[in-house]
Formats: sequence, C-alpha cells, structure tokens
Amino acid sequence: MMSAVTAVRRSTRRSIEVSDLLIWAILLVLVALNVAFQPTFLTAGNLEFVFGSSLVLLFAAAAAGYLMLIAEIDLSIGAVLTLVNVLIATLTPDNAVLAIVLGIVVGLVCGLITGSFVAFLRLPSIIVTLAMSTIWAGIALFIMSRPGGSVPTEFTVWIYGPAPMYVTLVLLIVTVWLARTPMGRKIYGLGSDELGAYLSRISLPGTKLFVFGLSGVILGLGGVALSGITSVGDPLSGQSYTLKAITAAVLGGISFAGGRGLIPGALAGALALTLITNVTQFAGVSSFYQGIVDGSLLILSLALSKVVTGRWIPLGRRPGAASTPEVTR
Amino acid sequence: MSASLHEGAAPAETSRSPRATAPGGFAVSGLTKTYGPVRALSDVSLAFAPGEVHAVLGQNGSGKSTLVKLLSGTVSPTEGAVLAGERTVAPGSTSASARAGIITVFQELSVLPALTVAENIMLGHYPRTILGTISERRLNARAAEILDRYRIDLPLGAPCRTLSLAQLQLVEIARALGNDPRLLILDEATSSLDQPDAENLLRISRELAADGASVLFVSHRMDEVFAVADTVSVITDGALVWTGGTADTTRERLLAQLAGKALEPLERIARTPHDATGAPALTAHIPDLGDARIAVAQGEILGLAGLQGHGQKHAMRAIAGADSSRGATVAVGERKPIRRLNVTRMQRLGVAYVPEDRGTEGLILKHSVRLNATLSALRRVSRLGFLSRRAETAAADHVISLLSVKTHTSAVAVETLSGGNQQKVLIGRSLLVEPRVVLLDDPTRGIDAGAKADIYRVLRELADSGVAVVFNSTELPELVGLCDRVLVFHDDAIVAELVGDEITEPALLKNMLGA
Repeated sequence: MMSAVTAVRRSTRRSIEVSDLLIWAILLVLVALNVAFQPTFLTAGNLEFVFGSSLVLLFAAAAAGYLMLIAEIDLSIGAVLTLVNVLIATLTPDNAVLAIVLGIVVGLVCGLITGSFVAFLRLPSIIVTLAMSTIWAGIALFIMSRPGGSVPTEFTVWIYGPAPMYVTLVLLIVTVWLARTPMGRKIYGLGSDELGAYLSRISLPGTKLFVFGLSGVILGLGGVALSGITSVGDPLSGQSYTLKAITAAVLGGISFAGGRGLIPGALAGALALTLITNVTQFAGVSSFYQGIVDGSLLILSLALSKVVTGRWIPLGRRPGAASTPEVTR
Repeated sequence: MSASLHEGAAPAETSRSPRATAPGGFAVSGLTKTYGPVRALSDVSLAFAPGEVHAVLGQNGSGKSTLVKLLSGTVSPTEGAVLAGERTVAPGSTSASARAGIITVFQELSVLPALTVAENIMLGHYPRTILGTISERRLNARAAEILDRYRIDLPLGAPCRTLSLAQLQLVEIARALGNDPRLLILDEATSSLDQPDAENLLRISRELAADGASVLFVSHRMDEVFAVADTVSVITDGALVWTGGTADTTRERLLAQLAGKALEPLERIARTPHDATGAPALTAHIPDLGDARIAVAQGEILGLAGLQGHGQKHAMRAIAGADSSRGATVAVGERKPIRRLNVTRMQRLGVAYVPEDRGTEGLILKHSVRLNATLSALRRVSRLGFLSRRAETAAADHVISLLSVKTHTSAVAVETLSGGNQQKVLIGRSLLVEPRVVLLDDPTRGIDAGAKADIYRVLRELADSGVAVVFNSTELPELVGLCDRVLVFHDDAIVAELVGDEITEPALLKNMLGA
C-alpha cells in the first residue's frame, strides 16, 4: 500500500555518464596509435613536447567548455588569444611576470565586455562573440600589422620544458575543484535549465558574467602560452584555435545544450586533438589539408556525442522526464 | 561573484526550531495585475493566517496562477501589495518573497536537471568543506533528514534529468520544505503525484499548519480541498467571489460559485453500453510490458489505468510511437501489424497522439493559437503549396469552437492561455486530421474542472462518431465516468480488464495496487 513511499532505496551514489568516459577511451586509443607510429612517444622528452604543443589548446578548450556548460558559445577565442599575444609583444617584451598579469587582465576584460552583452542585455552569445572576434582581431591588427616584436624569453624556454605538464596539472585540479563548489553547481544548474534556475533564485546575470570572466582569464593565460610558441607578436597567430577549442570541448563530452559534461574531459579532448594531428602527420597528410581535417573532426565529434548519449533518437523519445518508465514504486 | 544565494554558513534548519510567526501572518491587499487590456487579477484582498491551510479555487485562467506568481515575486503587481505581517514585501522579487518566508512549489517545475536530487533539495544552502567545495556527505545527510522528516523517498544521488515527472514534483516539494516556509504555496502540486504521495503531501500541509505556518493550496481536486483546507476562496475572472471556512460551505455551493457552467462533468456523461461488435480500430502487441496485447474497437473509449509508473503511460507512448519499445507492433484497422513505430507514421495511418507535456512536446508556446492549432495539418490549410491564412484561420476557429477554447482570437500566443485551454488547442489540433484512433497521454493533468468537462464532452462525441479513443489516467473518477473498458496495469503488465459496470473506483484501486 505504502510501497510508493518506502520502496526506493535512498541511494546517494552519483551516476557516471558514458559521454564523460568516452574521451578517455579515445585518448587511450590515440596514445596507442602514436606509440605504434613512434616508439619513442612515451619518453619524458616527447611527452613534454606533446604538452607544450597542446598548452594553448588546453586553455582554449577549458574556456570554450565553461561557456558551453551554461549553454553559451565563444567564437572570439582565437581573436582574444591573438590580442593577448600582440599586446605582450608590444607592451611587456622583457618582463615575464608583467606579461602574465597583462594576459590575465586582457582576457578578463575581454570576457567581461562580451559577457555583459550576454548577461545583462540577453543578446545571443553566438552573434556577440562573432562580432567581438572581428573587433579584437581588428585591434590586434591595428597594434601590429605584421609579425614582429618579441616576447619574454622565459616563455619560449618554458614551453619546451616540463612546465606545460605542471600547468596542465594545476588547470586540471582547479577545474575539478570548481565543479565541486557551490558556484560550480550553479553553473551546471543554470546551464541545464535557465527558467528553473531563475525560479530557484540563482542570479542569472551574476553567474553568466562569472563564467565569461573565468573563461576570459583562462584565455588570457592561453595567450601567454601562445606567445611562448610564436616567440614574437603575430596578428594571425590565434586564428585557428576557435574551431579547435570547440571541437576539443565537444569531443570531451560537453554538450552545446548546457549543463552536461566535465571540463577535465575538454582538457583530454585538447590532448586528443594534438595526438590526432600527430597521427595525420605520420600518415603523410599534407598540412594544406589541416582545415579539412579540423572541420570534419568537429562534425564527427558532435555526431559521436549524440550517438553516445542516445540523443540522436528523434524528438519525443529522449530519455528523462515523462518517458522514463522506472519510477516510484 | 553573484551574491544572490546565501550559501555556506546558513544550514537549512536541521533541527526543528520554533518558527518566528509573523503577527497576523501573510496577506495580499488590493492586488491587481493587468496584461495590456486584460485584467488577470483585480482588487483581490486575502489573508493567510498562521496555522491555516487556505485553498484557492478557480476555473481555467481565472487568475489563481497570477495570484501565485505575484506572491512568489515572479511578476510584480499593477496595484496592491503583498504583506508579511505589517511589512510590505518588495514587489516582483523572488528573493524578497523568499526572505519573507514565502516559498512556492511551482507548477512549471524549477528543478535543475543537471544537479542531483540532494543538490536540488539543498540549493542555496550547500554545506562546505574547508577547501570551499561542497561537503557531499553533509549535503546528503541533510537532504536525507528533510526527506525522512516528511516521509518522501527519492534517490539522493541521481541526476534530476533521469527522474520521472512525479519524482521531480517530490524534489520540488522537498526543496520548498527545506527552505523552512512560513507561507508554503502549493500550486497544483498533487496533480502529477499518485495517491499515496498526494495523501502524504496533504498530511505535510496539516503538519506545517499545526506548526504555525500558513499553506496556500491551489488544486482542482475538490476532495483534496475538503480534506485539507480550513479556509477556501473562489476566484472567478480575476475577482474574489467568495471566501470563508471550509465547514461553512459545500461541494455543490463551491461548484456553483466557480462558474455558470455545470462542473460535475462525470455524472453527466452517459456511458453507452460497450458495443462488442465494433470493428477493431487498433491492435497492439507490446512484449516488454508482460507481453501485453491491447485492442480497441471503433467507437470505444478505452482507459489505461495504473499507479504512476506501472506501465500504462509507457503502453500509451509505445503505441503512439513516442517511446521505443522492443518488438512492439501495432496493427491499424485490418492492416498488417507494423514495427518500428513513430509518431508521424502512426499519424499517416490515422492514429493521432496527444502528448502529456504540452510545454515541451506539444505546443510552440510563443507562437499563435492559429499556428499551433494547424501545425499537424499544414497540408490541409495550404493552397498550391502555400499556407493560406484564410484556411488557417478557419481551421483554428474550428478548433476553438469545437473545444470551447477561451480566447477572443486565434492570433494570440498560446502561452497566454491557461493550461486547460492550451491542452484543448493540443487536442483540437490532433482532431483536424480526422483520425480514426486518438491516443491521449494523461489528457487532464493539471487542468481545472471546466476544461476537463469540455475535454470529456469532446472525447465522448468523438467515440460516438466512430473514433476509437484511448487514454491513460491516474484519476479514478475520470476512468469510471468516461471509459467503456479499462485495462489496469500493475508492475509493467496488464492485471485486469474491466468492462462497463465493472468499472468502479474500488475495483480499479484494488487492481492498481496489485491486491
């Protein structure tokens, strides 16, 4: 009689989603492939190189991932990275500490400006960030019309040493930590249901602006990493990262719909993309075709994530709410 | 960054603390809300005394949802104010209302799908570790305490996106209770619950009242109103028409006050004796529900009964092609059985499906009644491949008159209609294509008696014209009053078939409980 009230076991176990595990399997396969092509792949020196060449993308993927968690998107990732790079080469070519501070501040300001339009005026982020990307790129070109200047020499040394591995580890720890804080839960809650979040008295503008600011700071650090790779200021240096960052986040299991996925997954996605590029190079694919590879990868990972979460099934059959048969007994 | 939530230190009272009772409780005075020319609520003054359960009754679009929204601060009043004791609550602010102790269990659920049950219940009161992270152990312990105290059972660690509608409603209720409400607003909170959980909620309401809080109980279920309320108020067309003690009135008087319309629809629908010779309209075979075989004849109203989650809803959705079900086959009329069902394919075969969740599965809320009413029959309202505005309007007007949808024009957005009228548009739409079988998933959930009566009338007329009607419901009077035959589900299988006079509330209940 009272079975409906008493029979469900009060399980506190958190369920793990397949979509969050997939990327780690992919990463494992890619490592195996790379080892097959290049037996020295797992040596310390080579791993340092892999992390070094992935570092910009690691930052960019985390930035893209946070925005996707609140169901927003950033198409200005590449432009912000470029702007930071150009500003460092112009303003702080000799001081590593100042350059890092500059990167963080520029990223934060860019994020807050973009975020304000989205958070307060409720403009769609896809359009705002598309517009902002040409503005940031325009400013970068205005400051430096062709590659030139120099960046603090420490950056160019650090990027090929063990530093990128440590930085990645710190990034991983911070993102795992944030997800477990009240703010982290608010980000997931808001992303999964905006109206529900409003009714639950979560501040929509406050939370959104926080995520845009956070994403900006991460991008600023990405711009610092980029400077280490370019070693000069280059007004076109960041361009390709927008698409790659979004691809990495999607591959990492973060959904465009918001509220689903883990930032460490996006980081794994970034590493996976680097390894895929390695494999294509070993396979002798000309770098002229890189654009075709990058674009196809985004579509492929999007399709993959839909298949894995079962959301490729037509509307009305999606899992959850009304259709789940296993209910209170 | 956003400082709206008082998280961290403030625990959701873990031990029963004596409540600071507002002297005089809560009240609304001269509350008026207009949307353009429409007066949704006009000059309503009501008091919600401490220790009292106050029921508010009203028809479709009578203004009771508006009253709830004004109290909870999701909209601000045109005139008048919400009072907590002597003080005015800042208008149009959900935080101000919450701080004053007004906690709402919303009809459109505010549960966040990405968070777990415990995280949703404790939202805004997360216990923290020294690292600043949420202490999951304490979080679960406190959420469990709330659930234990109110005898609610939920899997604490499950993400809410995996829960059923009834479970989501329980999460919503638990969260409200955890916020220590001094005025708890239950906006049709029982409509998606099954009997034991609904009864539990009524008991909780009484306990809160006994503790000195006020409860505002909005429901369409007259039985519940009489079971739980001390005071009852009737709102019609935005105005308060009666308020007084529940003991001072009767069901009949309240029904009469609610509207000019006769509101006991169930008594009025004469059941035609089931015509055993009716040609089969649809035959379904669903292996994963205990190898269930379901057949419905032309002109028959078939009810699928069961407690929430015992398979009747899945059966309905599987037949309609809305749920995938392994090996399920459906034969329409004399045709061969088909596999790989989907809603569009079934519609082409003359099987219309009316989904339950009007907001997400049925209607495009921001668009007009006209567009929504004709969405499934675009070919019918097109001329030479272009949509004809005149044909669209004619078809929409047909739907409006057929189901007595309350709106002056088909040009208004569907979201401005009340829930019952939205449901009518949804049902009307599926009838435009002149189906031979109509499948309805819980067609009267959360709508008022007047709208229900209109829907019952239409279903009866449909059946009389030879259409086969199948619907699932958890409401016993509805099944008894409307169905020619009822299949009762228990534990994902059909356990009984009741025909004609065998369909009684005790018989249904006995089989639903598997006794």
